[in-house]
Amino acid sequence: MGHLDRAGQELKQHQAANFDQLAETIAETPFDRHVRFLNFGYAVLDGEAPVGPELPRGYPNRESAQLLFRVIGDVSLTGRRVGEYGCGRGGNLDLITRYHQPAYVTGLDIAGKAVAFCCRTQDPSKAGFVHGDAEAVPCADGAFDAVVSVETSCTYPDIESFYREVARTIRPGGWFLYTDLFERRFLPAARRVLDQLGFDLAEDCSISANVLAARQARAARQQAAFGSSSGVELDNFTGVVGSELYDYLADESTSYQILRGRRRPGATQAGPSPLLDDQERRLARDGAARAVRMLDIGRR
Amino acid sequence: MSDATFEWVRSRFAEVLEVEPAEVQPDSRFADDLDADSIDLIEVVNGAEKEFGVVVEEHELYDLETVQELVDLLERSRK
Repeated sequence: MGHLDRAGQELKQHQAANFDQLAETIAETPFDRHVRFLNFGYAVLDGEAPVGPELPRGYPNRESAQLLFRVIGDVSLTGRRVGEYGCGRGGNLDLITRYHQPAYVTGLDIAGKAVAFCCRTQDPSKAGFVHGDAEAVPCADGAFDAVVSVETSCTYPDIESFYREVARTIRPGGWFLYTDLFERRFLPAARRVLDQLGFDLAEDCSISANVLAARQARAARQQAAFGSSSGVELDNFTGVVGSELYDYLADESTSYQILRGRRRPGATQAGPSPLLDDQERRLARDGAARAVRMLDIGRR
Repeated sequence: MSDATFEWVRSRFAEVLEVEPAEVQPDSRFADDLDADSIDLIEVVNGAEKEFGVVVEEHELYDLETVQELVDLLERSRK
């Protein structure tokens, strides 16, 4: 976190604490070993076909799986080295390992308890997990053929450092499989920076309607299951209808966006000059502070 | 033993789903007939693990469709 100012460091520590507290809360429920995803998911709407491999009938996290498959699109991960920054409890990498036959997957997360859960529940010959910071990734240049990032960057205090680290660690020709909730005002800056870092966007579309539908279908049930006896505040974490976070998702000023980009063959590392201007940087920081506050489950 | 396992599963599902035990039959499908979701299933399986002293791997739950399939899985796990 050495690259951050004090407020940024506090924000990052707050977010790590949020997720460690959530891990403790889930550990007290009967569902601990079954909870692999902490994202809002993607509901397939009328007239739309599901994408990705067919899951077993009883697969429990269909909306989260669909979100991942939607982000991957038609990118082949077979035999590839795949990283995930903000891997949480490892659900995405578990699915990639089961259905995409990668060479190896590596998950990184700022929450130590999430990393410990992943290490306990996944096969170390196929998947490794690291406790670390997505804005200062402890991996070599070009370490990955693809990096996944699902619903996590909106809490990062220094989004430019994250984008730089993604570009540094994806080999030229590799893929950034990215989705998150954005302030629409910030999207042009995100697109520009990704372009400056050598990414051509193969997909750039809003999936807000699908994510909202997933929350309408699942949030109340998840909240009742995970929070019924814990005394913590899960309204926002689960995005239940009527919560501040649900309203934020539904607001026209935000978009849950897929930005799938391929790093141009021959792309080189960007120079040190800032890629975001002060106003853009402030916009991203304010959004992260708001997201971290909303995701606080209120347990200390 | 299978009958006893079935009766336990039936009783627990009836409790979790708040339905009459008679509504839970061996060929009842979790989603289509009982309106049970994965959270309901996990609650029942967690109880069964304690009751019968077995461990059910997470991925083994994915292919279950009916009550009898769960009973069979629990029976296999006890051996």
